[in-house]
Amino acid sequence: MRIVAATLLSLCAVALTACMEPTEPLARAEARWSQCTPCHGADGHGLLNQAAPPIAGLPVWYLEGQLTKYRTGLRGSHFDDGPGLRMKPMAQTLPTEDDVKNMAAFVAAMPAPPHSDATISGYGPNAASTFGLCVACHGADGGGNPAMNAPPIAGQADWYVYEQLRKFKAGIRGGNPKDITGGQMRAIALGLGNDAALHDLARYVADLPVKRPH
Amino acid sequence: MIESFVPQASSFAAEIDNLILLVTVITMAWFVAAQAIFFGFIFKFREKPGQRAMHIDGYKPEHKRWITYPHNAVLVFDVIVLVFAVKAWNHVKIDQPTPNTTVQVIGQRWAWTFVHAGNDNAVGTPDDIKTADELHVKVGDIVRFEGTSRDTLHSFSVPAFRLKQDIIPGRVNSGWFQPTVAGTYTIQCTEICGIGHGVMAARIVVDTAESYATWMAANAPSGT
Repeated sequence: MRIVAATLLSLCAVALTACMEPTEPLARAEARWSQCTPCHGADGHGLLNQAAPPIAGLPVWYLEGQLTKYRTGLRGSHFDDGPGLRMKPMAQTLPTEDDVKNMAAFVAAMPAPPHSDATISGYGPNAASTFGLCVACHGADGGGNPAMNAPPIAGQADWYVYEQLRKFKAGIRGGNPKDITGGQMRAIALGLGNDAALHDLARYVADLPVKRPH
Repeated sequence: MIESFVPQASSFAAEIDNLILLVTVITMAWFVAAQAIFFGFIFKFREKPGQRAMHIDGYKPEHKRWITYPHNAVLVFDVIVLVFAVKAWNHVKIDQPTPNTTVQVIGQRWAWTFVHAGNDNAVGTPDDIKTADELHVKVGDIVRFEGTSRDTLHSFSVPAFRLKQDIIPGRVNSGWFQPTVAGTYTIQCTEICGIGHGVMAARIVVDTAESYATWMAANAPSGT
């Protein structure tokens, strides 16, 4: 009888242990990171075939802000935002704001990726002047400026930069009136010209030396 | 009985519940009877003073009939279940009544998006209302849905409607429902579709005629 009781107690203890999450903040985030890897890759360098961008090494404030936007539906709620619609429910699995902070800190601490493979072949002569529109917020080197809520964009994957410019311009991203910082970027994107100009700018930005983080 | 756990909010919800209840009652009755006979015989033919435990191989007709009679009875009950199941299947899946409106239901990893017909009551036109995570229908309307997938296999399920339809990529998966009770109900995916399957949820809002008209007016695309 004692053996049976001891065995049952041991099994209960093992089951409870398996259900418990770590309490140390970064360990909690690391335990959840496996949810992100199918799309963003184990190294956080992104997967083009999943339309999931490189996120490793981005600044904590930006990651926390975007996770919060996804979690509250400010981003990833538009009918035409396929990848965003995929990201939103995943962000909503983070149960608390502390978990958002922990995940942002964990991803920010990962080594930033080198330049991604180019998917856009070169850029035209006007790309540098178009980039001038970005400098006020993102900096002359594209390194970002937290005071302007502008993330680093230098060295970001060209396909991702293009897609975001296109979405900002179409109101797919930044179209929600409650998304103040997204709305700021949308206003700029509206003045960026045609689709070819967006491609040129995306390639130009991707070619800039990687600057991380603030 | 089932409606005390999940409301019955569509015209065919009660029929599905009754079918589930019928199957449950029949299987439970047979389970109880089989166990009662099983343990009754164990008790009756157990070893006791003056009687050895018997080994019955089932070759004698008086022994074998304890298998054959229930077997035949089970077949009869199978036919009864089949009759009601085919009747429900035809009503819910085969006979598609003339709809009052059509909606497009689009599944993707891990969200649902919807295209509602605008004032012209046709989808695929400029006045369509496109939404993510929320589908609006009018109470009492017969709604035809056309389900498509942007990526992999999903299943469009509204538990309160007792509705479930696989959404197979590459084809239009159509069906219908008629909401009978105004309210907000859960839409879920009931086909494992990846790591976010468990959080692939949306809402269906069954509006009254007035609230549906208000919602349509508020969400109509500009310029239509």
